[in-house]
Amino acid sequence: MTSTPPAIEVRGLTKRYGSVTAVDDLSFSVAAGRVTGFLGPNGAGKTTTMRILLGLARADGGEARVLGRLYRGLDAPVRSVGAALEITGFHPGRTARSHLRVAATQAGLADPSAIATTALTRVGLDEAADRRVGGFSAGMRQRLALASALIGDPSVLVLDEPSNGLDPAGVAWLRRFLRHFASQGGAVLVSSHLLAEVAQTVDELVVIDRGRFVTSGPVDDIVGALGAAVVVRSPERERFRVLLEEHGAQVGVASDGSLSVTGTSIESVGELAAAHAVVLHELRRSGATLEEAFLHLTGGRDDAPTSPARPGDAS
Amino acid sequence: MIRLVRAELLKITTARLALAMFVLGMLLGLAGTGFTLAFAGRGIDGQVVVDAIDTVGDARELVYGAAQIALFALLLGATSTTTEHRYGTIGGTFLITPVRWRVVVAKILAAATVGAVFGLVAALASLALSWSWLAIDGGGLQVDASVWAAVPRVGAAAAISAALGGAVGASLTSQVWAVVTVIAWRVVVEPLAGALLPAARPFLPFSGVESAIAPAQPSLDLLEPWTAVGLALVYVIVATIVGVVVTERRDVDGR
Repeated sequence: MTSTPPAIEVRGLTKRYGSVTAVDDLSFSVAAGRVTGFLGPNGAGKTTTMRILLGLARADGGEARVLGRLYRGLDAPVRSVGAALEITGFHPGRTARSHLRVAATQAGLADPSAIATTALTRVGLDEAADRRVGGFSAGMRQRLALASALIGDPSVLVLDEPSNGLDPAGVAWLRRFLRHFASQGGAVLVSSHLLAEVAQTVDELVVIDRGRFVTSGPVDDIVGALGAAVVVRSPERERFRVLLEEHGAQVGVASDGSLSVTGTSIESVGELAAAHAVVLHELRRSGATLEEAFLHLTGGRDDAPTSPARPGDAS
Repeated sequence: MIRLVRAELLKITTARLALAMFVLGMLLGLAGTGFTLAFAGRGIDGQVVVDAIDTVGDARELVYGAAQIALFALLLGATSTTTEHRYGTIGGTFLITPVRWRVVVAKILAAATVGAVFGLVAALASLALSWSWLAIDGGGLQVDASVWAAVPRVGAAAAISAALGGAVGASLTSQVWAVVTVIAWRVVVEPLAGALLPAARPFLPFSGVESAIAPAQPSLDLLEPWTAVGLALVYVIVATIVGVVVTERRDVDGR
């Protein structure tokens, strides 16, 4: 029996720029059907890793595969992988529709004009289809980048800071889109510095720092490992507290009467309540826990743009 | 490869730079033809500035004169391969076609195609202007098969220029450097080299080889046309290989 390879697999990846090691023996994988957040401080090596994965830069060691193959070896890359990186731009004198028609023609897709129209509609740019990209806002460019990534109807998405420049409605739309994409079996690797946004969007995390792997796994596991709590309010507080403790969770009672649960995930708490018909009035993670976890994992280096960037790393 | 060339042609035709170069090249070329026609056989202060146009050879020279547009084809080639680096679109192009040598070759073929169109249209426009002008003037333009044969030779000269420009652009990637390099080569280096080493002149890409394909000013020391075509192809192939090697080795790191 053969096992299905991960959608994305990075093994021992190393990239050097002179004396600076931008990516250092990095390994992780991304599964189909999941949205995986790729986190790290500025200059951690996220964009460099993505560039190597997509064949835009050469590795000095190790390899990165998509669907079991090197990107360059994919038969029809745009049908397998949709990518939107910050380093990819647009010709300002070309219209959005022309940009996508060119891309679809180059990819050998049938009926490039229809594909361009569909992709523009999908990202909400249909009314700006015939405007020159030079006049686009950052958010519109971001949507066009996403439309470019989608023209081949790929099963893997690699997105570098896709919510940059999007307004709140756009961010919410992107979140729904990525969730839907993953629910259809697609794999998403998305880098972002907006931790609150990541917390709402992703299932899994890969955290790197200074080019090295730090940790990976489900968001709740990573946050839970730091002792972050799940807050529960219930009219059946004592019964539920006992149930939680019987299932291995540590439970404290806060001054406002809510339960503070650690050592388990928010999904497990919800499922336990449903299984025992416990009424819940509130179920949430305690605030800013991903940020706390991130700062803890990366040694307190924040992800602010003021952090010094390393060569070749745009994020 | 055909779809890649089609995509590259679409890139050239959906941006305004190529159209601007074409219009500028045509205006300058037709202005030159018009100047020749206006002063042909007419004297200024008793001296004839331009000989009268009354032979088949004169008609041929008017067509070959349109080969001046090859300079604009050269610039078109240099800018068509460097525009992607200037605007950061090269990353997107390599995401669609990660086998980079195919992209470079497609770009050079597309540039050569547009260059050929530049040359053919310029040559036909020069011929049409000359024929109309002389007909209105009461004379006529002597045209035979050799005049018509000059039209595709102008197209070939412009195509070769565009291909060489494209290969230089693929190697340098900086649009400013590519444009400066091709202009400096054509306008400064070749005339200087031709003056210092007359024996080498027939083998120089533009003043030698291209002139042999479309000889605007007949010269005794030019190569035979087919020899010139062969040498031009060697230049294009070598320049393309350099462009491919540079492109394959370089990381794409944005603007």
